[in-house]
Amino acid sequence: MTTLIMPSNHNSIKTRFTYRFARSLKKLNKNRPASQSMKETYRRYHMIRVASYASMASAVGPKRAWSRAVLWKIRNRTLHRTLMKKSRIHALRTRKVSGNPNDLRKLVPGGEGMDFSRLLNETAHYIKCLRTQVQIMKNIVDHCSN
Amino acid sequence: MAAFSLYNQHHPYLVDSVVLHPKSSIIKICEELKNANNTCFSQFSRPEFRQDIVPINLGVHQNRCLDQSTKVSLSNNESNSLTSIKNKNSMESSSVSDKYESSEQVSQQKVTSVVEKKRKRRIMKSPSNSAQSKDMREVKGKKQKKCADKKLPGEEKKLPEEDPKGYIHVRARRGQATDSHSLAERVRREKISERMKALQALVPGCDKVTGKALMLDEIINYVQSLQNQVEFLSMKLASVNPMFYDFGLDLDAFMVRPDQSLNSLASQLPTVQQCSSPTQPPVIPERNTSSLTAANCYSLLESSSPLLFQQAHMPNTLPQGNGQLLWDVDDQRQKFINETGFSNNLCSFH
Repeated sequence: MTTLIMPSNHNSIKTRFTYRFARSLKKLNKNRPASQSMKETYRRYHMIRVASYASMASAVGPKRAWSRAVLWKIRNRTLHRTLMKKSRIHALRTRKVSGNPNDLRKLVPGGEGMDFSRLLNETAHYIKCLRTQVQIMKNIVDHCSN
Repeated sequence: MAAFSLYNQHHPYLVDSVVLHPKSSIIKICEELKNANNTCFSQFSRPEFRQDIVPINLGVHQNRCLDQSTKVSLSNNESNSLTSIKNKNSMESSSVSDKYESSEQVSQQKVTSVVEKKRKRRIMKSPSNSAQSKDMREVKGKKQKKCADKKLPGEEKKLPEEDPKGYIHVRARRGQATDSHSLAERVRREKISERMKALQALVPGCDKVTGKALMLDEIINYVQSLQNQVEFLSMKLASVNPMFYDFGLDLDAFMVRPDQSLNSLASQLPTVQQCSSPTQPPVIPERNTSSLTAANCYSLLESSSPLLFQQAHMPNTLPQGNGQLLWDVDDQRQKFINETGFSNNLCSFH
């Protein structure tokens, strides 16, 4: 019961995300037929994750800073892959309970260069979109696992 | 007290103008004053002038005006078109003038805030003046004296030049610092706290926490958990046997929650049929006899409006055997949508 019934704007983001994500899932399936090896599953997991983030960001469109940052990161991910992985692991391990806004900056994509109020604004929108994403992905998983 | 004296100086001028000029000139002055909006003195002078002409406005501005009873009686003499409303208002305003002593403090504060606002605007215009504003008391007194002086000679001349355009409208309360840096800082803090409130409404469990740091921590945790959920779900999707993937793409079933999906599919059925598919065979819905009410149908129709809209505008022309066409979907979205609508109908029948 997390999502609200919102005006048509939000609904359309939801619809667009669902279309794009289903389409990219299908493409992934077409390219990569079933294989049971662990490595293959891991690769698929990465691709699905990237696909979900990318479809969310492109569903939101370029008017939000975080979606722009996500798309940019995905486009240039070959350059930044190792760097991102390292910093992410580091951030996850060393986090303590301290309401440091810099942690939030690391979590929200593109949040490094914003001033604080804008960061909060983007965070609110990002949370809404992440919720939608999680809900739809849950539904897809439920549908597939039945 | 300076403010009070200002008001007193202001008052005879008004009375004089009312007494000396005939009614047409009063209307002219009032129009001039209307043109100069947002000026610092219009708060006081405008309601009084208007009250002479439009007697119904009286009740609104009563608390502000010191001399309403006198004004009303004055306009009583002037215009013959007084109604019983106005008489009642004069009664009320006499009682208000009794109350004035208690509300003197309020009006004085209002005057000072107005003056502060003006000074602030001046500071934003010319930063070289900001050195003056360090000593608040002194400057305030000076300003008020200046205002009171300037008021008498040319009121109408002074009003239009203070039109605030292109500035953010900030008002400092009494006792707050008014130099431009602290003003900007205050605006920033207000913005941040407002957005924090919005976030607090979004994040569950965040409303019980007090303090900015703890709230930020909750928000960070929530965002992290959502991202972890996305990772977990994509892991699950990757591990699911991909043969199950060729869902009939009932996207609606993904967009509504699973507990609602049966209900919604059943109740969406009539609406989808009537707007999109004249070519489809009529089907007897089995499930919706129990669950379909009018209100239910309405709310679901609202929530799934984009799909219905798209379906209504595109004729459903695909024949039934096109199930394998799903696999070579390129970026043509229209075909995609058509198919989803189509298979949506199919899915809801079994």
